[in-house]
Amino acid sequence: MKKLSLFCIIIACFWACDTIEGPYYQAIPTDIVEAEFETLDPSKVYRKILFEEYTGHICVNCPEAHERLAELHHAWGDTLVPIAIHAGAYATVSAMYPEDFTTPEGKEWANYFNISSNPRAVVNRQLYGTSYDVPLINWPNAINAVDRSYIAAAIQLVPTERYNKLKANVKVSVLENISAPVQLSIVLIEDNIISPQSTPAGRDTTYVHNHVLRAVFNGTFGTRLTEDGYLVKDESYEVAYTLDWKNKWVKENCSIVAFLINKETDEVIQVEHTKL
Amino acid sequence: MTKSAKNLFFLATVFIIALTSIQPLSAQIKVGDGVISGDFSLNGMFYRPDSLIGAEEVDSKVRANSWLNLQYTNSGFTVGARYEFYSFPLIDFEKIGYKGQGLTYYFADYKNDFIQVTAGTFYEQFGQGFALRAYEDRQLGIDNSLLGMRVKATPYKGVYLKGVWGIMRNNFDFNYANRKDYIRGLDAEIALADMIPAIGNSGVTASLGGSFVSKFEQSIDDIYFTIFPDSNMISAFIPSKNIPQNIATWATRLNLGYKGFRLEAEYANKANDPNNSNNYIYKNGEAFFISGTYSMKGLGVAASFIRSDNMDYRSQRAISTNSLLGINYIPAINRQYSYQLLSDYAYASLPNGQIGFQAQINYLIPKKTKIGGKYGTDITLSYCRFHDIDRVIDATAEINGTIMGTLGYSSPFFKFGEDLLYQDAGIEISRKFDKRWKLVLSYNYLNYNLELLQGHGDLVKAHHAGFDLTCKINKKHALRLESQYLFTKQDKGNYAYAMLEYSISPRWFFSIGDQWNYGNPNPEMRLHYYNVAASFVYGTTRISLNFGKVKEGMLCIGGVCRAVPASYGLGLNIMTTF
Repeated sequence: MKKLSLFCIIIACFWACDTIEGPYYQAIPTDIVEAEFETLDPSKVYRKILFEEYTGHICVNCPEAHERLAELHHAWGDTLVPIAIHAGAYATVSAMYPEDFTTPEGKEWANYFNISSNPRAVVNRQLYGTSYDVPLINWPNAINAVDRSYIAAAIQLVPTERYNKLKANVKVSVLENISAPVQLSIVLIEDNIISPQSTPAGRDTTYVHNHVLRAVFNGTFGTRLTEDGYLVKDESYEVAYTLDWKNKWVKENCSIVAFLINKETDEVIQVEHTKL
Repeated sequence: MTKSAKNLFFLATVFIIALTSIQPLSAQIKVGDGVISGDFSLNGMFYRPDSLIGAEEVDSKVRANSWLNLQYTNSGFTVGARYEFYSFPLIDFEKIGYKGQGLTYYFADYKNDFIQVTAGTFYEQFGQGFALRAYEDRQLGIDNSLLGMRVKATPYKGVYLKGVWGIMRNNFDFNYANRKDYIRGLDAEIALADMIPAIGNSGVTASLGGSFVSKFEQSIDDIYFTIFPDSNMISAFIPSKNIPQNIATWATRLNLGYKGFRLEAEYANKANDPNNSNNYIYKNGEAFFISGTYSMKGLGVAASFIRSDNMDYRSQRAISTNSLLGINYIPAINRQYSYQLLSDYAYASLPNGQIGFQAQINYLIPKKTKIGGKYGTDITLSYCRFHDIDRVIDATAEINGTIMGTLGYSSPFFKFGEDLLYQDAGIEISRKFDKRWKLVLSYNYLNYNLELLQGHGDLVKAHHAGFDLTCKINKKHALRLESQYLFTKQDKGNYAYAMLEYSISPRWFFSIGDQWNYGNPNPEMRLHYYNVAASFVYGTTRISLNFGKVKEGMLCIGGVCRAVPASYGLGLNIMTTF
């Protein structure tokens, strides 16, 4: 009897099966492109760098990181495109820190790139050493490590609005052969958000948060531009994605960021941003 | 166990053999109260290019597969290891990714009347293999052993329990610390004849068994694809949270026997398992097999039925090549032939969709009769037919223009689909005329769907005739002539094959043979694939040399196949067991 009981316990431990209920997939519908794109001069295209800062409003060391990012942004100009992603334990909401800066996509990215703590950055989604997340002290090195001579594509962005919807019209022009399938990711960020932040001097209720990720237009890791994800050199691809505008966002402070991702390595091939 | 410890263990074992071995070609070697046994194989080839047959230039010219197995047994305790050197393997193994070297198999095992425990790598099968078959086949380059733990117990007489827990081997990737997939399984079988003496004494054999296997694989990536509703192209993805990480297969089986009758049946069901081989659908998988046989003196009758639907079950969902990381096994129930000319049209079992049956009658015309002759005449009649399963595409999949991310399809259980995969009707007659002469004649009519089974070509309709004549010249010398003919208007056309084999028992074997594609639609490709071979056998050691051409084709064993590239050159094979 004891042997049989033990056997039943073992069976219970082994009873491991995930049953998934539908719907199983999510579609990301495109919209009609309704923008005129300027004629592109490939000689004036340069590779920009996506800088994803993982932060949180109760992260006491993060204000120092924000200052450091501001210095780097000033030094690199529009070559550096920062996004501030609030995710993890330091981004939780409370009575003292009521603004929810998190997004489902930001949390998924934090999980995917194994962000160990805050402040951390992922630079162009390239490995720095053996991991993606770069500590503050290595941010300049990680930016310098990006090969800016590789200019594979150009991205043009034209935002349009109708009723309460914001549309991102995007044109991707392929300048060099890209041997891997790619996906395009389009996000909305907002500057100048006044909201509490934990600092070494205490809670600052008038802290200015910049580059905050507010929404993603087309899925956590973007969408394909072609059926199989491969792009052809000297070809252009136009797409448009729409999201619902939220009244708490301030239009004058918002920008759209679009970046092209190599799906084999996760590396960002090109990034572009434009203010609304 | 660290890599250096493993190597040390292996070298120590070899050293013990060297110290204690006097006659390595004799049977097992005694060491103290225990015994060391093992086997060794070297299969090498010197390659020459031949553009006509498609034999590529091999830059290193010489390649070889080699391995050494050693085992030490002392009472109920056994330890063993195998070292494989496939760093520069035969080209057909390189093409399937079986390349590397290292200690691929190592274990310690203890067994008594109640329990058997194994730590390390092991092979195991539950029932027919529908839920779990961890096995190796050296010729096919398949080795999906489990690295982990196994427990077998016999708590009561006639009750057999097994439990396994481990990581499946992935060729020569030893980076187990970073693996995100592993397998666990349980199997139980009750043999009523062993349990209840009254049943055993009555001549009835009856056993009932059940298996439960679950794989875990971390899901971290979304799966992206495109859908085409109303001819629009829309991106879509399956979020990683919608990809099941724990996927279970359960199976139940029954075996009955009484006197000459045998009945065995097994059914398996696999939970939703979206993977690369089924285009990421969420339909459950099913497999069913039933076989009945009757045998008495001079007569045997057998019939089997099999159906498998979405049963490709792998340790990693992204893998769909060959049998790599395959957890389970769906057997082929058709008659297996060793005929050279039928090797290209050998039926491979399709776990994701097949339904078919096989029937066979063996009859021995009695000896000392007019028709049966002095020694009797064996006649075998066989017939089998396999179709794809019938599929009714899921409504969402119809709209999307792809089955990805949907239930895929539904399939009425016993309905045969329209596509014929394989059909074989054959007769074989074997007769021994006197002490010297024996003749085997065979004829088969085949249908083989090249498109669905190999990805190219038509439905092949072929006639195959075989002739095998053996003459025992005296007690030691024998001469055998084998010839075959394949007639078909499809694929590469007609073939003829002849082989002469001379053996001087028990040591020497010589053969010369040729396969001629005389009916190839392209006259320039009506080539000869000749082969000359010699073998020497001494005790448990066999050394073979062969020279000739091998045509591009398939090698199938037990319904599992792999591609064989064309080759030309000199081969050496050494095998020994001790």
